[in-house]
Amino acid sequence: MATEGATTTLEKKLKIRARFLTKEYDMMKTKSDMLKTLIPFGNTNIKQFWALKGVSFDVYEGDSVGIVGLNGGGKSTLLNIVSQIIPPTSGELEVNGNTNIISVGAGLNGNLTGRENIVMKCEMLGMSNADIDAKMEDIINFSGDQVIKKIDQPVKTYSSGMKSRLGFSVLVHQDPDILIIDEALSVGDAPFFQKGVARMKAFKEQGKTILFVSHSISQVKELCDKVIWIDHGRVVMEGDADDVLPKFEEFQLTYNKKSKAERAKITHESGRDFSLDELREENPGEPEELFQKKLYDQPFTWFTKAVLSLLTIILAFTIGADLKAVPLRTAILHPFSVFAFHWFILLVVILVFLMTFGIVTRKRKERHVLD
Amino acid sequence: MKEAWLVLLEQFKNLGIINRLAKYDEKSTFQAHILGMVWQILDPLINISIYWFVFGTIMYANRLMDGYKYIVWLLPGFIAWQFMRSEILGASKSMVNRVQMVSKMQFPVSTIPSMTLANQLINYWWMLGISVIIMFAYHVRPSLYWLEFFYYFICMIAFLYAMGLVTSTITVIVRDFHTLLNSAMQLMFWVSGTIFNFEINDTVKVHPIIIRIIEINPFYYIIDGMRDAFLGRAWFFHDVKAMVIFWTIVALLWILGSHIHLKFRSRFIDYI
Repeated sequence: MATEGATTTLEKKLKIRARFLTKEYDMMKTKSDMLKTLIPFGNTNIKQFWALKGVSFDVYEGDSVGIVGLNGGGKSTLLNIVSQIIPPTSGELEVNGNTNIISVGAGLNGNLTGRENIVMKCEMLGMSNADIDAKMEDIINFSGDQVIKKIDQPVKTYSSGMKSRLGFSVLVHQDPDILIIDEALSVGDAPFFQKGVARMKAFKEQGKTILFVSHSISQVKELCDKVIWIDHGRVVMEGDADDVLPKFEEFQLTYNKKSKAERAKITHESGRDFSLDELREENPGEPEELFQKKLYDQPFTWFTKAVLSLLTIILAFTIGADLKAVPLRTAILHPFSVFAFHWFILLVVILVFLMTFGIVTRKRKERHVLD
Repeated sequence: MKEAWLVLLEQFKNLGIINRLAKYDEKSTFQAHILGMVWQILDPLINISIYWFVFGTIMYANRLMDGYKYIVWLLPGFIAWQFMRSEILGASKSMVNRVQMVSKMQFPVSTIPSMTLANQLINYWWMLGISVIIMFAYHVRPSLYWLEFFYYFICMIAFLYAMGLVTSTITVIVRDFHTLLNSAMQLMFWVSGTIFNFEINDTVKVHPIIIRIIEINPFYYIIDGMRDAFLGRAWFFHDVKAMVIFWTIVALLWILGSHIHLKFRSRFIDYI
């Protein structure tokens, strides 16, 4: 039995391979907090929240995998990372093939007509013009009678149901290897839902890989063979749908009995109770890079800081030379003809002061963390 | 540094998408207009005629500028200014306008400011064509100096993109920034020598420091450079100081911009 299972997985191609994916968010309460998180200098005292804490899984060709979990458990974050909308904070993600995410409220431009929106969305998704022309009629017909009637009118005149159906229709007519669905099937009325499910099943029969997130367990049962259960940023259970789903349902029942405040507290605390060092220690023998923050989430490197300071000095110096009308050659040969020597001393003093100030505050922050 | 390189690479990889998507901005803005995109040309033309009348005939009283009529002097700088102004204002809003749309798809977000650039560029080519015809009519003839146009054009694109990267990211978080930018551009218009010839101003002649301060401003560098090119006044490599100042400003903006852009992209679901 076990050997048989191993051979089938060997034959199937690996489509998605995730290793220790983490995602850290800042807890931003105000606009100024948001601005602070972008500033590349200095230490901000904004609290961090770990939405994912080292998620690993494999998805093979032809699998249809459901991702279940409670609200705020990290499902959507995971989907966004797998579909490469946002990068992970650390960890490794390997996706073989092109992905396509289908989700509710996929944006349309209200000022353009339905047809123009279809062309624009298809172009954004990287389709060629010939492809778009070929699929145009299918896309329009799939989105239902109401949309067909208004296809050459601006989308702002559509009802919200029509808009989502149009968006959904564009997306299911792409030809991706990996389809990622984020609760999109709840769009529209019952007949449309059935059409959507039929389409998904057709995808499945073509041997395409499907990743499906939904709150509705019955939908997951209908579409998925495998289920990954995620809670508080960690994989709780992974396996066949028949094994995982009953346990998840059981868990959901006990969780629902808890009071609202209790639930909020659990989520809040769990997001902060994590660090990359812990993850590294829990998984000895894994390569070091897996537990390092990626470029996106790093502050300025020393090299960049050095380049920036050099550029600033060059800029200040040249502006100085320009204002004093000193030719550049003279300015370089005799720098103190541009800046008087006492100004230079003052500048050094200010820089030294700022640096010590920075070091002191950082030390204090570290001490604070230790306490 | 790596960030700056990554963002640059992304632009070149997605040139096709940028060009194809650029047109939708305009289509959406002028959807209910009868004349549509003609407004993009008509509006600056009306402006030019006003400045021509007010400054050319009344203020400078048909005085020659660098040996040419005021209109000839005005055009190369003014169309560059018009392009830069609408690009900067457009780019700063570009991310806000599109972020909803791209938040649910895999998309090279750093190309969004470039789309505004590509879109505005179409108008710039039109304006440039019209200007060249008018300049011919006023006895300007092509010279080797016209090659300089390519240098200043590259300057302009590099500067505008670097600005766009910074402003578009900040505007997503603080919308006020766009309004601030709008006012700042009003000020820039008057101090960048778009319609004034500072070099023949009497006050400036007495206090040359004023022109040196103005020269730091990157807009002035480009506007003045475009005039150097079309009127055949000077070569760009003769003013090394201005060149160094301009490019360090661009490099600083670029490094800062790509850093905050990537940081923003890593968590942009949170910001919207």
